[in-house]
Amino acid sequence: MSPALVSFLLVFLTTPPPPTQTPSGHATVEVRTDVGWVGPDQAFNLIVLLTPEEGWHVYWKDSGASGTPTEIEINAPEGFKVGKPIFPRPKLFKGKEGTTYGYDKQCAIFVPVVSPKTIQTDEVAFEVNTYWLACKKICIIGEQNQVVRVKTNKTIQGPPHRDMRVKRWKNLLPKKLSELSKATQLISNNKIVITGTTSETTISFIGVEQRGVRFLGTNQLRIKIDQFTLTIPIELDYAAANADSITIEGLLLLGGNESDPSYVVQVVVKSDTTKN
Amino acid sequence: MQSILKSLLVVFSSLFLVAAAQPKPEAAPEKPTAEIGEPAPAFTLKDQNGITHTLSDYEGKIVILEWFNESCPYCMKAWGLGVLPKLLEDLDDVKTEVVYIAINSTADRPEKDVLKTGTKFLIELDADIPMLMDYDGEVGHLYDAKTTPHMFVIDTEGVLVYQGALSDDRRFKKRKDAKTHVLRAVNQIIAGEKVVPSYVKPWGCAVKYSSGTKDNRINRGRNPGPLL
Repeated sequence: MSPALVSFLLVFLTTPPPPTQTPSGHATVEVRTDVGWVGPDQAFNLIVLLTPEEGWHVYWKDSGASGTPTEIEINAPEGFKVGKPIFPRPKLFKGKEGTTYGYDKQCAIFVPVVSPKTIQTDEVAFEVNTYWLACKKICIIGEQNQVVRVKTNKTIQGPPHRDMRVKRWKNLLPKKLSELSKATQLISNNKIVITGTTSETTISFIGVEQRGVRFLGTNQLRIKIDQFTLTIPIELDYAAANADSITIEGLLLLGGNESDPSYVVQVVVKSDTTKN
Repeated sequence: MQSILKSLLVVFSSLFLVAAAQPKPEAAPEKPTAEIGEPAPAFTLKDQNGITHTLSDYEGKIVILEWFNESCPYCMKAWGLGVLPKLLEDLDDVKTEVVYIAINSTADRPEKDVLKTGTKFLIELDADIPMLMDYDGEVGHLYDAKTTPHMFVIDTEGVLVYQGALSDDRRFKKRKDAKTHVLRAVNQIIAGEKVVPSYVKPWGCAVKYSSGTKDNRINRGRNPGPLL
């Protein structure tokens, strides 16, 4: 049997099971991987597909003005390192009481995983617990626990999954800010200042509020030809953060649609950096 | 005529360019009326029994406000899984008198239904607390209450010292053993310490305000005067 045929059969045979439907929570969860199988010391992703029912929406990792963030917890096999979930750019829901961030259609949340250098078993299982709040006129808490079994190979790393949707889902994830032309980010006088070059004129920022960080006031956008400067006032409270440094996180959004590009803004600021 | 049109076009183009170069404010949250470290905005509301409550009635006491909606699953869990009943028990044990008030700004149903179901919920849980009816959302907007639950703690001087999440246990894993920010803030007040953190992002359902109250809020400004 040719190696190509073996690879094809392995990928075919290890295709994840069909979606698991949840009867409650007004959203469904399906978990898969982006590789055909997992080999030693291999970086891959678990993909959590969260699909709200028609008319309902769930929330981003920061829910915005109200709501509750979606959370994912992974129980991984020993030796597998699991990173923080990466959420696709959310939709902005502008309501009477402010803007919330979330999804009213299927979203693919990527969870990066690195396998150990030595794999002993033919299969590994990940327990994926997803928690969300789905809202329409009312809100319902949803939760689903799912076990995903992934085939392993003790010597060869697995190929990318053949599912073409994986590429599309990856394209919806935020990019590194360095991928934006002439992009810079800095903290100055309790403000984040982001600059860059783009032909887009709709440019905004959504922040991830955490202990000690609040995004208050009005963001200021200046555009000069294709150069933009976005200034975001922040309020830092080191006592509340109980730390000497705070990591400020958010997304720079270009364009007004969920499918438009977004960039990760991440700045670590130490207590004396922001003193005026 | 053509030259006039050309001139006008140049003028309008210049104006457009100037406008484009000006800083463009993005939509941003309005400044909340209630602010940490400032006197808590005064209010007068009626509870489920028709009794009128004015914040200044509680002068010298620590006041806790919970934005409440019995149909929100987070309020159901906070009450039903024992987190808030345990908090009330703990507050009974503190040395300073503490007043716990639920405020119901829910307006997605007729007011009499909100009153009825909220009252029934509290009776069934044997929760002997006033539920103040804020159907027009005026007090909710004054405090910028975002979620149910959204907690506010006012110290004995009438100053708002904490607002935000009930606890960090938003999935209620620890149930009644969860440490609440409310009890922590109350203990810090009693110990004479600064309340830190004074804000933790609240979680829960959005407050189901009635439509049409927000515009009234924009120009109203802070409620005058301290409470004491």
